[in-house]
Amino acid sequence: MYSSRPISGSRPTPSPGLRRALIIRFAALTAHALNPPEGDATLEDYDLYLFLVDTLAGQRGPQSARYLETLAGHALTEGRISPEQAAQTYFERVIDRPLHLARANLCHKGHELLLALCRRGADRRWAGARLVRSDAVDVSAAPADASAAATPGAPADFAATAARLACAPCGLSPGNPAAATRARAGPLALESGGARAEVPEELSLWRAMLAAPRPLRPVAGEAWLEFRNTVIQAFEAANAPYATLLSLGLWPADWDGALSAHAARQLSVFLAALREADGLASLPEWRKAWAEKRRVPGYGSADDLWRSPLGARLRSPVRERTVALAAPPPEAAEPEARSAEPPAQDEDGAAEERMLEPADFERLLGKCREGGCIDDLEAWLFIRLRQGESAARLAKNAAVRSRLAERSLTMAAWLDDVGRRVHAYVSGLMADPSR
Amino acid sequence: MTSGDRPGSDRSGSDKSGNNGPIWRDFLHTLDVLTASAQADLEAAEASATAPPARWRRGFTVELLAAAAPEGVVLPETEVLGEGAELGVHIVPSDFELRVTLQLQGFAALDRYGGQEARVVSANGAIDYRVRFSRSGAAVCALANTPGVREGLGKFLVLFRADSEGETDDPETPL
Repeated sequence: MYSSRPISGSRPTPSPGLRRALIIRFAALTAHALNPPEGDATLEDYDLYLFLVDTLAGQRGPQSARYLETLAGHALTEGRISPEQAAQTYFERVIDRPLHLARANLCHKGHELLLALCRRGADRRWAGARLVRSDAVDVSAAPADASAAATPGAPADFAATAARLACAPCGLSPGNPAAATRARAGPLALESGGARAEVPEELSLWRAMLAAPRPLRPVAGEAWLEFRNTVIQAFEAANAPYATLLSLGLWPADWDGALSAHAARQLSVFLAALREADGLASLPEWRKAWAEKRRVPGYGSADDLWRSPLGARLRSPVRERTVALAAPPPEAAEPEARSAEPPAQDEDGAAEERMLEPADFERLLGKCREGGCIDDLEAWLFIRLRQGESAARLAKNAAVRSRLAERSLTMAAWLDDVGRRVHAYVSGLMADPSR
Repeated sequence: MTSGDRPGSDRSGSDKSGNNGPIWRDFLHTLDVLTASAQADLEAAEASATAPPARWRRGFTVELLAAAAPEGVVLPETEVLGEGAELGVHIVPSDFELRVTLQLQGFAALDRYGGQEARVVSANGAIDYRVRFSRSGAAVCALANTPGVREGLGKFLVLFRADSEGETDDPETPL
């Protein structure tokens, strides 16, 4: 799509934003699936699973092929496995991946997704649901019989949600900061109306979706934006390690566990330096990059890495052909931004950035308008999107339809084009603050 | 360059020109999220409007009376019948594998589904297995003997290709 951080001297590469844009899009699509209109049949677990996996396998319309190739990374398998198997690999390693806490956080994005879903339970008492850590959590309080309403004031279907949470894997992996957090602050629980149920520390996104109350109350407007953003952040966090391996040209099922998140990021920096020097196939260039402190944890020297199976894979011509799918992650452009001692597993992914409040967004959009990179109609469009209006509805607006016809564009292509122009304008602004 | 232009400037504040690196990064992030979300919205609307034919249709829903135990779900050891008594399910566990034999029962089921490609999908997502029923109505799934699979066998669907009515083939080989 477009680059917001120009890398001087680098060869043209696929935009760093492409895979990220797709995970956001896939997450937003999932949020739609989790928000059927009132009156529609309750979404069953099978339906949600088939929606996720079949979309990833490129089997839900012409648009879904891009999820197979760029999100699941099917091209990196070089035809060894089917699209369905690639989709299932992504499901197991991202959507059903046990998530770890990040640093000193009390919960992770999977827990936040669970809470957001619970607060949409049809029983209005779910609105006050919250996540708590306390040594007072009594796991035996969860009723064994899912049909029994054990606590007055609790949602009628709380016990069913508790039972589904109890079915989720509840272990703690070595190195998960949750062990220390649990010792300090107590186990994590879902609480509503006085009822409590323990929440697995390593709850995956899928298990959060499975545990949610049924049916869910539809949301719209600001509540919809908030829910959708929660889903997007959850998918971005879960997707980050898988995407890092894809960006290195590595099929995750082949290299799972071979690289820590930190090592993968350092390797990305190392490879970026080699690409800049066109030195991927040159051991002297590897040694030079290594000497410039672009080292990869787990390897004693550039020669060690060169001789390793990973090194052989990185030099593979086949990998180079498929690396076009694998744009470097944003971190590769700013190695100095990494802390010296990163956590064992960072689940926050791209959580550094935040959504601007509508007023700030509108103000900066106005500056883009003043700068001439977008016009009034385009500014209006994005303001309405920020307010939660549906793109499908906006596409029916007469002025929008006229613009699309005039430029022979689809709505999706027009949105992309506006984004490109704004990114280019803001990049110029950030590179030259005197403007 | 004004003070507000420098990286690390206060995110919420800005100088008169609004040249504040972090807030512009947040602006671009917001723009990217809105763009991708809008495209998802359009994609969802298109899928809803065009409603492409389903690739798979539901054949059977199977719910086994599995018992919870300290070591995990315990599955029935004898053959059980699924929905409408048209599908028998027999599970034989070993250390690493669960061998699940599906057997179509009765002429109607055999006539309709015999020889067809099927997909066994569990409600918990742990099982997604392609298989083909033989003409005699048998299909065998070799599943990993894991807690997730055992849980999944408590409730699963057997789907059939929506475009395979009348197609038949012989081998009981997994796809």
